[in-house]
Amino acid sequence: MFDLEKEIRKWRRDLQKSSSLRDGDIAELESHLREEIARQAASGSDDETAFRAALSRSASADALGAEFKKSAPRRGRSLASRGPRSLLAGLFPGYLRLAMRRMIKHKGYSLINVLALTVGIAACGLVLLYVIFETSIDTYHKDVDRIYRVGLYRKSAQGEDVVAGNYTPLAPTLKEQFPQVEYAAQVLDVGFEPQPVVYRDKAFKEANIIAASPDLLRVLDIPLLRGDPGDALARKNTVLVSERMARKYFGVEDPLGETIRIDDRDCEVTGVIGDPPANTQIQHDIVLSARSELESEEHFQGWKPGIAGVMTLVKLKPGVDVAEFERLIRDLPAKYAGEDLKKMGTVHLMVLQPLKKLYLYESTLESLRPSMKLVYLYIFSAIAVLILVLACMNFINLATARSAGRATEVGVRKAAGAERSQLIVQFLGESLVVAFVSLALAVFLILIVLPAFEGLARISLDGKALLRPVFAATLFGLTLFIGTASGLYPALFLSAFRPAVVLKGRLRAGLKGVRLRRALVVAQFAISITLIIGTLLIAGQVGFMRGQPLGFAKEQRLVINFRTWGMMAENYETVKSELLRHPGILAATACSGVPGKGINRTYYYPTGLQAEKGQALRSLRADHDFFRVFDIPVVAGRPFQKEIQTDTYGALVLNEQGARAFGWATADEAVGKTMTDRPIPVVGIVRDFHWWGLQRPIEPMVVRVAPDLFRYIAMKVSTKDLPGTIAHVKTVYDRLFPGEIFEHFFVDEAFDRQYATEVRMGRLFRVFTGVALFIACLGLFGLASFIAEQRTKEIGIRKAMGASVPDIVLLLSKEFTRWVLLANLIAWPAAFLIGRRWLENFAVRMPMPWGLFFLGAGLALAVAQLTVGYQSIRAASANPVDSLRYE
Amino acid sequence: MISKALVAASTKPILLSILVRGENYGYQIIQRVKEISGGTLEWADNMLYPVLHRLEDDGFVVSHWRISEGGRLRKYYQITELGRKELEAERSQWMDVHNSLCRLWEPAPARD
Repeated sequence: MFDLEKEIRKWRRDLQKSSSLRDGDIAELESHLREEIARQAASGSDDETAFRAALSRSASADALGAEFKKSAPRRGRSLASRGPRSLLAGLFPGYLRLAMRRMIKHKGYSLINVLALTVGIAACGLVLLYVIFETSIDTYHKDVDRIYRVGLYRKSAQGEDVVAGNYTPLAPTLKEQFPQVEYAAQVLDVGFEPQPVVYRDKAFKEANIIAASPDLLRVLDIPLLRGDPGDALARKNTVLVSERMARKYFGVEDPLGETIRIDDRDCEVTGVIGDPPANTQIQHDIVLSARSELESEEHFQGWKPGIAGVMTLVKLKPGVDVAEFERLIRDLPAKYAGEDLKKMGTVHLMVLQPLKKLYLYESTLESLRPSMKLVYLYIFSAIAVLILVLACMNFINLATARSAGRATEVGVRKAAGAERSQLIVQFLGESLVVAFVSLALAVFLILIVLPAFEGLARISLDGKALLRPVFAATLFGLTLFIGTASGLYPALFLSAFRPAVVLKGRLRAGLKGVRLRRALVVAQFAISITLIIGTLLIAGQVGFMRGQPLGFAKEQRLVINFRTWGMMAENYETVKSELLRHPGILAATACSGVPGKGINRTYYYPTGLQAEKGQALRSLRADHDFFRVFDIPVVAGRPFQKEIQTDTYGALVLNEQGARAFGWATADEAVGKTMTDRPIPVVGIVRDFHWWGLQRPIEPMVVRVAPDLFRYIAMKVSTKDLPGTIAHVKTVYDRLFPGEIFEHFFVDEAFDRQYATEVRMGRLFRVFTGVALFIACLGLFGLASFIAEQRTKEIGIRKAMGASVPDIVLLLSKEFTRWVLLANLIAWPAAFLIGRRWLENFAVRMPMPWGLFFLGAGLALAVAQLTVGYQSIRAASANPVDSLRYE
Repeated sequence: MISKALVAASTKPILLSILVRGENYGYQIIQRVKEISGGTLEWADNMLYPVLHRLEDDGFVVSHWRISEGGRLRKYYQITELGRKELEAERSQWMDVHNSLCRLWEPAPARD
C-alpha cells in the first residue's frame, strides 16, 4: 500500500542530508511538492502516480542542494564573512543561538524569568555559603574524627543536663590510665568580659583569652610558629599569643621572653601560635598556661563534684572503638567521687562529644540532638530550596502560558521535519540558557550583597569561599538542575503539539494548562504566605520575650563598668554618694554583675551538709542597695541592711530557686538557716528574676555583700536630662579613678543583646521572605499581563456594553484573589505546625497568635492585588475602540 | 524556448513584477509565469527558490508562513519598498533595451 506521507518523509530526509538546506528551505520545497501533488491528484491521479509525477517535475535532491549551495555563501553561512556577533553566535550550537535570539526578542518575558532565577540562585548561593561556614566550624582539624570533648552528664532531682565543664583531674587521669587516649587537654575560659591586656604603653581589652594545658597544641591543629614546643604552656604564668596579637602588642619586636600584663597578672610570652580562623569556637588569641589558674584556686583541686570548671578535650589513638571507650570512662565520677555523689543524690556520667558536632548539636546522654543553630541551618536551607522552587514554577508557568504563541512555531518546525526530540532539545536549551545567564548575574549579585550578608548571618568568609569547588560545583549543578527541571515540562508540553491541529489554529490560546498554572500560582502563594507568617512569628516571639516581666526593672538603669574586680572595694560608698549628688540619679548599687552579663558559680552547702547538698550555684556579690535599684522584691526575711555590720561578708540572700535547690520547701523555712562551715546565715529570700534572656530558665542564685568582687555600679536614673546625668557620672569617675577609662552601658540594651540571635535570624528570615514574595509576584505579574492581554477583546466588548473601569478591575482581580485565598488553606496548617515546632525551643513562648495568620494572609493578598492591579487597571482603562480593532 | 542566459537575466524583474501585484508563494509564481508567457517560460523549482531567497537577503522581498484555508502551509513573499525601487530601476533598464531593439528592428522609415 502506498503511503504518501511516508514517502514525503523519506524525500524530506534525503534533502536534510544535503547540508546547505535549512529547515525553512526544505519546508518551502515540501510545500511546493505538495501543491504539485495536489494538482496531479485533482486531475485524477492516485497518490502514488501524483507523487511520482510531482517528483519528476521537481529537481532531484542533489540538484536542489547544488543550486541552493550556489547562493549559500551570500546567506551568511560562513563565520568569517560577518561581524564578531555572528562569530560568537557561531560557537554555540544552533539551538542555543535560537535561544539567545528568543531571549532578546521577548524582553519582558525573559526579564521576568531571568530576574526570578537570578534572585533565586543568589539566595541559594548565599544560604549555601552560610551552610558551608556553619558546618565548617571546628571541623577543619586534621584528625577531627578522633577529637572529642568529654562532657559531664548531670542528673539530680532538679533535672538533667550535659555541661562542658568537667572534673579538673579528668585530663591527666585519662592520659595516665587509658592507652586509647593519645592527648588530653584542659581548657578554661578566663572571665566573661574582655580582659585588660597591657604591654608597655599599649593597653587593650581582649575577648579571646583562654587558659589551657600544653596538650591543647597537640589535640587541635594550632601551629606553634615560634618558641619551644616542650615549654609552651608548661610553666605557670606563661602565655602564647597569636600572630596578630604579637603584631598588635610587639610590632616588629621579638615577643619571646617579653612580659605582658593580662588581667593584672604578669605573664611571660613563651611562643607565637597561628591566628585562630573565623570558623572555630575556641578563639585562641591569647592562651594562658592553665597551671596558673588551676593551681591558684583551691576548689579546682581533686575530684570534687559540684564544680563544673574545666573543659577536657581528648584526641584518641587511631582505630579506637569510641563506643567501647565511652563505656569505659562513663563511670569515672562514681569511681573517684562516688561517696559525695551518693550523698548529693546526683548522678554524674562522662559522655564523649565529637568535636565536629559540638557547634551544631546539643549533647544529651543518649545522643546529640540538633541545636538551635542546626534548626536555623535547616530552616534556611529549606527556604533556599523553596525560593528556587518558586523561581522554577515561574518559569514553567510563563512558558506554558505563552505556549499558544509558540504553537505555530512548533507546528511549522514539525511540518518542516523536525523530530520531537529535536524540539525538546531546543526548548531545554532555551531554559538552560536562561538558567545560566541567571547564574552569571547571580554570582555578581552575591558579590555585591556578600558583605551585608556576612554581617547579617554573622559569618565570616575569606575571599576564596566563592571559588571553593564545593560551592562552584553545587551552584553549577543547581543551575543545570533548574534549567532542566523548569524546562522539561514546557518542552514536553510544547513539543507534543500536533502540527495539523495547531496550524489550523484550533488550539485556543492558553486554554490548555490553565489548571496547572492555577495550581502553580496557588502553590507559590502558599509558600510565600507560610514564610510571611513565619517572619511574623519570629518577630512576635522576640517582641513577646522582650515584653515579658523579668522580675527586675531594666529600663533607665545606667551601669559603670570597671576595668577589674575590687577596684572600689574600700571606697564604693564614697563613689555612690558622690554619684547620688546629681538629682538625675535616684539610687545606686555596687555589684559584681548585672542581669545579662556573665556571673560566676560558687560552691555552697547548708552547714554540715557539704557532701549531701553541696553545689556550685550562681553567685552574685552586691551591696544592700542592689534589690532596691532593680526593684526586686524580698519575699521572706529581710534585705541586706547598711546598718548591720555583719551583713558585709557575713550574710546571704537566696532567690526562691536557690532555697529550693538546698531542699527548703518555702522561702520562710529557708530564712535563718546557715550556709558553709563558717557559718553564714540566710537573712532573706528574693523573688526569682531572670538573669539571662528568656531562652534560659531561672537558676538558683546566692547573693552576698562582698566588696572585693564589686566591678559595676548600677544606677537608677531619671529620664530627665540623661546626657547631663551621664556627664556627671563621667566627671565623678574621672576624678575618683584617674587614668582609668570610663565605660558605661544601659542594662536594657545589654540585656536585649541576648536576643541578638533571634533578632538576626528574624532579619534574615525577613530578607528571604521578601525574596520569595518578590519572585512569586514576578510570576503573578507575568501571568496577569498575559491574561489581561488575552482578554483584551473581552474587556473591550464589556466596556462597549457599558462596564466601568472598576467593574473590569474587579473582574480581573477576582480570579487572583480567589487563588491567593485558596493558598491560605495550604499555608495556614503548614505555618502552624512549623511555628509550633519552632516555639518549642523557648522556655517562655507566646500563645499561638492567630491574628498573625490573618495579617500574613492580608499582606499576601495586598501584595498580589498591587501586582495584578497595575495590569488590571491598564487593561481596563484601554480604549475599547483600540482593543476591539486589535486582532 | 528561451535561452538559459536570458531566462536567468529576466528572473528578477519578472519576479518583482509579479509580486508588485500582490504577495504570492513559489508554486503559484511558477504557474503565473507559465501562464503569462504562454508556456514559453517554464521555471524550475530549483531555480526559483534560490533566487527568491537572494531577493530576500537583499531586502527586496520579505516572506512569512501562512496557512491556507485548506490547511496547507505556504511561504508567501511580499515586495518591500526597496523592492519597488529596484523594480523601477530594472524596468527602466529593460525598457531601454526594449526600445533600442524595437527601433533597430522596425522597418526603416521610408525616405523620400
